[in-house]
Amino acid sequence: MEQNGEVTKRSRGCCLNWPGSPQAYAFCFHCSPMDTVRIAVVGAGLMGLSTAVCIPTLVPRCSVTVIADKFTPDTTSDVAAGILIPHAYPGSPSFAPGPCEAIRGLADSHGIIFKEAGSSRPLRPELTLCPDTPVHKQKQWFRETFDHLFSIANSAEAGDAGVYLVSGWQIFRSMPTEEVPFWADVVLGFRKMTEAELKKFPQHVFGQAFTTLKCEGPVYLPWLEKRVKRSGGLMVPQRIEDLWELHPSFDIVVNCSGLGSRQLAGDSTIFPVRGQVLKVQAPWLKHFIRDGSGLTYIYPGTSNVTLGGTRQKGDWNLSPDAEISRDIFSRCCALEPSLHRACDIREKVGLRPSRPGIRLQKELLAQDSRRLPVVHHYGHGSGGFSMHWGTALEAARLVNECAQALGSPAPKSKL
Amino acid sequence: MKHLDQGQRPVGGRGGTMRVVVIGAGVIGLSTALCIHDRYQPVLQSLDVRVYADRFTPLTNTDVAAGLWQPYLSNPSNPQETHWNQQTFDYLLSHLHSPNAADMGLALISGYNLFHEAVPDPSWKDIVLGFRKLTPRELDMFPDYSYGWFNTSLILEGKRYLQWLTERLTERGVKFSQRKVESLEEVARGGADVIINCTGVRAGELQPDPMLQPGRGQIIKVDAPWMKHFIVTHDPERGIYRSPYIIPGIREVTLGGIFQLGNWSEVNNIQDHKSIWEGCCRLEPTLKKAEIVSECTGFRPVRPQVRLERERLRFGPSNTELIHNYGHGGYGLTIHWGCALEAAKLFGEVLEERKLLRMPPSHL
Repeated sequence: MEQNGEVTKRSRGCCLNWPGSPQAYAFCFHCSPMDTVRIAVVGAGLMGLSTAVCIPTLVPRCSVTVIADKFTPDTTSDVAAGILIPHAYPGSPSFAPGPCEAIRGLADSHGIIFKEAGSSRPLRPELTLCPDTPVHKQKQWFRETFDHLFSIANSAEAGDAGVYLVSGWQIFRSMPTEEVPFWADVVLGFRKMTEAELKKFPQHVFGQAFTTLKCEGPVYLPWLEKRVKRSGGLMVPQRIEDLWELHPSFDIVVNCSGLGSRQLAGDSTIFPVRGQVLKVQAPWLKHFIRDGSGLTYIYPGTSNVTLGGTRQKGDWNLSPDAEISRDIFSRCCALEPSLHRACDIREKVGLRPSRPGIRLQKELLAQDSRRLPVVHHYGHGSGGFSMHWGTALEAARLVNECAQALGSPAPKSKL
Repeated sequence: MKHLDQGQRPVGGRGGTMRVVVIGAGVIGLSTALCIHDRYQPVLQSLDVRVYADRFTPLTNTDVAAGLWQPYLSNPSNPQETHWNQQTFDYLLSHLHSPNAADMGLALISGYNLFHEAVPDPSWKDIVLGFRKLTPRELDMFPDYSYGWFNTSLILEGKRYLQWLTERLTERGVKFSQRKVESLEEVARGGADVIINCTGVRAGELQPDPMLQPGRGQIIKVDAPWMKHFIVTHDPERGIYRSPYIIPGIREVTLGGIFQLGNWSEVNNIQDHKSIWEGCCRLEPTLKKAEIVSECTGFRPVRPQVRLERERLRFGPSNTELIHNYGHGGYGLTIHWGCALEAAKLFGEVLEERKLLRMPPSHL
């Protein structure tokens, strides 16, 4: 770690936003030059910002800099409706750690790097051998996210944070395999819909009623940015083409670049699932309605209602398609005829950063004698809002592990 | 029964025209006018319905109401009222599926009823949708309360609904006349065959009624579009509507909790404002950041039960039929359609007595 005695070096970041007296930096325990861990978070969407908020709560004496080419309101997270209904990741039914964790542990501790024959690029066994996110982890992260947002929703901050409760129905055209999903006891008041309630949806035979949370990207992200800045973090608008650009200015890199990880992390398992939505004015709608397939949904927000949607795998096109918009509108009107009166219809497109499982993992990049610890935190697909706080806490824990490793004189891994 | 052909209609009232005057242009007056018109216009030679009122929307008491469909917790002294509440809910629910719902000011809304101790379920628990008790985690959101219900009900926003009713009536040729009716006699002598008295809280000005009293209410409307649920608290010691309530409408949220029997003051009171604001912010802290849009006062026409009955007036040589439909307290929007149907039924009796009908009216 490069040292110099100057507390005023701008890249430290911590004292820049310290309110009050000019002598404040002298009291800033973050800025002891010997110990400050300089952390770069790549990506300023939901994952980047929430991780940037969590890190200072776990890592003593750090500076956090968020670097991204897009900030709110131009991120994927700004397009999402932000409703907390978990997306089903393919998860292993068992609760025991899978084989991938064992292999990973082994590789890390022995400095083993796998290489594909004939290529200089390292093969990442964990990416190909361990695709899934176990259900118990999904439940844990969803619960952590829900509980965290629930307390914000019940505080005076709720409006500033864009977090609030909403009730509604998830309805099915045929009986689902799972009548009670894993997250039923995390949301509030989960129950089956009554016959009288189902009358509203003549095409559907079964439904679940519950109260959950909605977290609005265009309000929540700026609120997270404020929190990052309040704890001394910096926002830097810059496109990173290679994680090594961050060396040696930063000690640890947190990769929250979503689809950008194809390039930045060489991850070919991440791909876009294109989602088109309409944002309309229909303030009389107070309930969410979600078709169990996940393809058609109506999510009332603070300033508009989100109508969706599509799931187009491998489609990178960010321009809205008029035919798709008509189809979305028609599907939603079939569920909620009053939508025919909706006005001020706007089209938006987001590319869900989809992966067989969320990547939450440390990696030690090595090139010649250079070392760069990276914590990967990306690949949430449709489940970003539902999982973000739980996974951000986990990412911050991994960052802390890296920070501890930096501090202690550990033997360097051999190539 | 003789089947009526086109153009062959039974004889109407004087000169063939049945003249109906509805006094009052709140939800009761306008819905009764619409109900009667739609039911009897097809079977009368000529039906002339007029609405007389000194106040029209947005100046009626209906305009002040938050519009949540919810009867009182205790059973009404007149069991018919339960039936009228149910009829209203079913009628409104049937309109939910049409694109017109928003035009009517109608929407589904779910929410919380909160209590300091366990209470029996209300009689309307099977009328609303998805009625259940609150779970412990839900109750944690409301530290001052220890018991409660969750259900899905309806919002019928007074102002929007009155506008919609006015449009429907205007389409049907119903005339509106802004005037202060000084006496029932004046209307009778003016040529009305039937008078429907929907004068609400000021019915006593036309005919003294010691059972009718104003239940003054004051409400604050705020901009809080993140609120998607109603929250109604109950305090049996203080009485109905005297405990904070928060009711989101189509665009604004109504905050209330004032009920003052016998108070005719139309002026917004600063103490009441404080009481509402503090009570509601304590209940829902997110409201502290909400912007106040307006504040107003209204008078619930409080009566031990709704007065819905006929009376015959005799001024000089003529008989004028009078149908009273007033005294709906704080549940006018909740009960209005059932009462309109009943008033229409009474009107039908008048027509039968006068042999103005050749066949019974079709059931709605």
